[in-house]
Amino acid sequence: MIRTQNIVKIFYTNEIAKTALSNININIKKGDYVSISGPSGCGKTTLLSIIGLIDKQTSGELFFMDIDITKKKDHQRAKLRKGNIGFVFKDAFLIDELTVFENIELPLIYLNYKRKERIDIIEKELLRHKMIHLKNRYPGQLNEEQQQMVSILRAVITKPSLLLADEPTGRLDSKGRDNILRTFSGLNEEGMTIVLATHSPYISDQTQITIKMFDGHVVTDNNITI
Amino acid sequence: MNTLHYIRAAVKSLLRDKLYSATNIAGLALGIGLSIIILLLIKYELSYDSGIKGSKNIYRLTTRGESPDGIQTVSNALTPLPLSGLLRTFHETEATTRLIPGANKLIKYNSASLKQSRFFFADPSFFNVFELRIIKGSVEQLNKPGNVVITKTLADKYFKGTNPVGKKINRDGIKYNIIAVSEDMPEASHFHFDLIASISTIEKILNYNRKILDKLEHNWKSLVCYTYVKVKPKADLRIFEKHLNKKARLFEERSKPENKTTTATSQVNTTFHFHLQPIRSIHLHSKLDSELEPLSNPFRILIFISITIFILLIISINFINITTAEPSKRLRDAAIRKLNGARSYHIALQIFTEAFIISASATILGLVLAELMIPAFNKLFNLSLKLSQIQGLQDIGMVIFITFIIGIISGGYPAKFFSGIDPVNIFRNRFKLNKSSFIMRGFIIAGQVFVLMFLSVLTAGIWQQLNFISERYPGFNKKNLLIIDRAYTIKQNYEDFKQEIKHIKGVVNVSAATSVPGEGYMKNIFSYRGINPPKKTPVNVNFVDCDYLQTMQLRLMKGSFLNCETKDSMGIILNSTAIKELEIKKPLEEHIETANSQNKSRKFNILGVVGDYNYEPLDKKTEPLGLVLLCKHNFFRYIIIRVEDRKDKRTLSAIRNTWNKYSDNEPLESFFLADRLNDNYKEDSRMLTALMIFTLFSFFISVLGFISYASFLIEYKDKKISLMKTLGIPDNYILRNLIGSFGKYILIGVSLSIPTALMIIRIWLRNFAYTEHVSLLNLLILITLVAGTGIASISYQYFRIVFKKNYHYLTKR
Repeated sequence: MIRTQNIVKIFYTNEIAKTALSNININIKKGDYVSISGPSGCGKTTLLSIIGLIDKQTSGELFFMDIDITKKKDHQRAKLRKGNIGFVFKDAFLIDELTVFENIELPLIYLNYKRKERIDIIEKELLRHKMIHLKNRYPGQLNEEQQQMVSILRAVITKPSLLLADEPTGRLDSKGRDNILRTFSGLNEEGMTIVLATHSPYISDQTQITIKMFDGHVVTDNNITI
Repeated sequence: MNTLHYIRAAVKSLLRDKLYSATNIAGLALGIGLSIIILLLIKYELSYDSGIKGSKNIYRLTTRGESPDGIQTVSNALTPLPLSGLLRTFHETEATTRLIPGANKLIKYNSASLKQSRFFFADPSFFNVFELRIIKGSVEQLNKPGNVVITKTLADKYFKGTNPVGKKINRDGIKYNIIAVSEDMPEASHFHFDLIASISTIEKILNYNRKILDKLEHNWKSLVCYTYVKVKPKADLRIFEKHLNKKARLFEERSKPENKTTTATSQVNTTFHFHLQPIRSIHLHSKLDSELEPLSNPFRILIFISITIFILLIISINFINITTAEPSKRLRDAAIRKLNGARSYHIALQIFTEAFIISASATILGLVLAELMIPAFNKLFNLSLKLSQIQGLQDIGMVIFITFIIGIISGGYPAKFFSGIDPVNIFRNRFKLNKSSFIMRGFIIAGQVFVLMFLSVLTAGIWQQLNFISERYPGFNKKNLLIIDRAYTIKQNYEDFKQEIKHIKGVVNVSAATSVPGEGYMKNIFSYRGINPPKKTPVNVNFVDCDYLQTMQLRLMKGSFLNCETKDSMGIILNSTAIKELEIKKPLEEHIETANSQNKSRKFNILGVVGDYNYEPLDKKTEPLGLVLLCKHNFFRYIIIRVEDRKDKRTLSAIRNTWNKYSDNEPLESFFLADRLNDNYKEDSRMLTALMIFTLFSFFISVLGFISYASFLIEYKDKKISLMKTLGIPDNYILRNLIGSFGKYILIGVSLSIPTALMIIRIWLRNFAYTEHVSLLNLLILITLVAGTGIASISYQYFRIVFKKNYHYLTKR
């Protein structure tokens, strides 16, 4: 699903260069449930943004679904991303003035789904996750766990091949955290590849594979040793 | 394309922040309302003389010419009387008419006076050229002497509820029979009438004196009437004009022997050329002598168009200011959408949908506001604009175009600004604009400063010039001068009347004259033979009595004034310009000559020299002037009375009573000269008032803009400010830093606007012979005001956002 070869990412600010990632080589297969763990500032989020085709590496090669992304332009990356990669963050990042339904609807709109199709898909998903009663509520009327669930539903509504999550339970209590992790496990069981970044050993323990990072290096993962 | 989603999201976004939306829509609506009114005003100005049926084919004949010696040039709206007869012989002519303004004489119906009625003589074909609807009666008999057609307005005013046709009115001892009631000339016309009498009535007035009438009717050198022609469609006007002039020259040559006798306005040796002037172009483009009514000029249209563009620009900038005041929330939303599959154009489309919804709502509200504001504007500009004048596809298209343009300009920058967000920012939870967008935002605020400063300097410039004109010493004391018009009704009783008026408490002096400053003067060519070759120049002549100098309080530079005792009928007082033009070295020992009505030389001894005074409006340079003593048999129109205080009701009432005693109950028509002189600049004053309103509006919008920019600036420098606060750097230092960031854009706007505005003012000042430019002090005041408003806005926002709250780096984190 995702393969990187010697990925390097350097941030340049005011003539100071900071290496965020050094020679990252990872290989994530379809259906994997992977966690990237490590302390703050180790490069988890940067790596996630690169494999999510949002950010560009400074050097190295990146393959997504066996397509070489290395030289792809922004709009080509955006096209590949659309419908194929879902994102979940510590913050739910919902649009305040849109209802639960409308927030989940966004990716379908940009994929040009017809209104009727959108209603069918979203209502089915909301029923499946016992959230249909929240359909017309606004983000401000939801608790944090519910907000995060809406953000997960929005990320997976197009049935993407890859779900990327950056500290998805960072704002939740233990009960909320477990519920979200259960949802992720369920999605993975349905065949979705999931990569989540976390600094919590508890969460990384729940995934099949853990990639440990430190100061921009992968120090270990279950498949690759450096 | 999910149009419904964009509309729904835009409406929800607007409803989310009601204050933001309301401010945005209110600002836009007010601007659109004002723009609609200005567009109506422009439309009104451009529609002059197009309200008459077939106006496209109606032309006024004008006269141009130059005397062989080049001394006298003619550029006049008047033509000779026989021209109309010649026009009739051309196949291009559909109809032609002459129009002669009647003197300002009292018109009576029974015992009622038809006050301030505009009286004209015209050919019966007048209503074939100007196809006005005949409401009552018939105009067929307009060829008979003493027949008159009146307008509906006059009929409604003086013949309430009765049919005026068949009724008799009296003017100067002649009875006129009302034969028809016509509709009024459209308001936007270069002339208006209340009564049109048959031109043959003039024969009656002149007691059918064939000698005089023949001279008039065959005189090609006297400019006495306005001639209009309606040409057939598709007529070749160039050829028509060429043939007309060729034939006119032949007739002129043939009639020369009879032409020896001429009136005062005749130009014996000048060769005339007649031109076809489309009546639709008169209001804006005619610059001729003897116009029937004051005209406008294209500069005013230019100013109004500029104001409209600037208003639309400033309200669009205001939209940008408000939309981008605190951008992080919108940037966040844009990033979320992008991460969920939106492309930049989706975001742009979303912003534009919002902008179009706002501009469409504002247009609807603007139309309502325009309807509410129009009565005040009508009062200000003495017009009758109506919102219903927006009609037809073209006008509706224009309103839609305005809405569209506002949407495009308003939405353009925010669309670029928000759609450019890189979704990677969402990983860092950092929603901030990049440096180039920040600089661009600065230039937008500089644009707003430009518009505000431009309008302010323009307003100040026009204000200063009009103030200069009204305050400038014109060479005589214009205050407290009461002018009685139609004073000839006093006739032989003038001396007794004058003595009685002089004894009224509060009256300083009394005089009589054929002309007063601001009115037309009779022009004669005078020659001075004291040098070789003799010097010739046209001199304006005013017949005055011997108290004119004291009454007007002129400056006598040399010699003495006209003396009633010595009856200086052959003496003349010249102004300094005349002395200079005629190159007279020792004026008191010299005489000048002019040809009299029999073309015989007539000598005038120069008795004295008066300092130049502005006897013409200030848009003209002072020309040579000669003051000649008014003889008993001379016709004079004005009595000039200097009073101590124009507000003294008792003095004015006593003057009225004396008038009534001597004038055989003719009503008193009087005005104060200062008011009449200021009337010359009424249009400019109105333009100034409009400019002031728009400048105030743009100031109000700019204050909103400055406040929004200040909050934007604080948000942009948020990290820096919070760090400085944490490090204990004093507030005044941080504030100074922010003012510096804002100040450079104010400086850019100010420095670009001042030269532009001064250039426009310079163009406008070309209309005046005497000018005053915007003073440095006024410019400094304006700069201080604009810069001060900017500083106050940023200080206010700093106090509100930073100073009052615990704005430290750690809390911000």
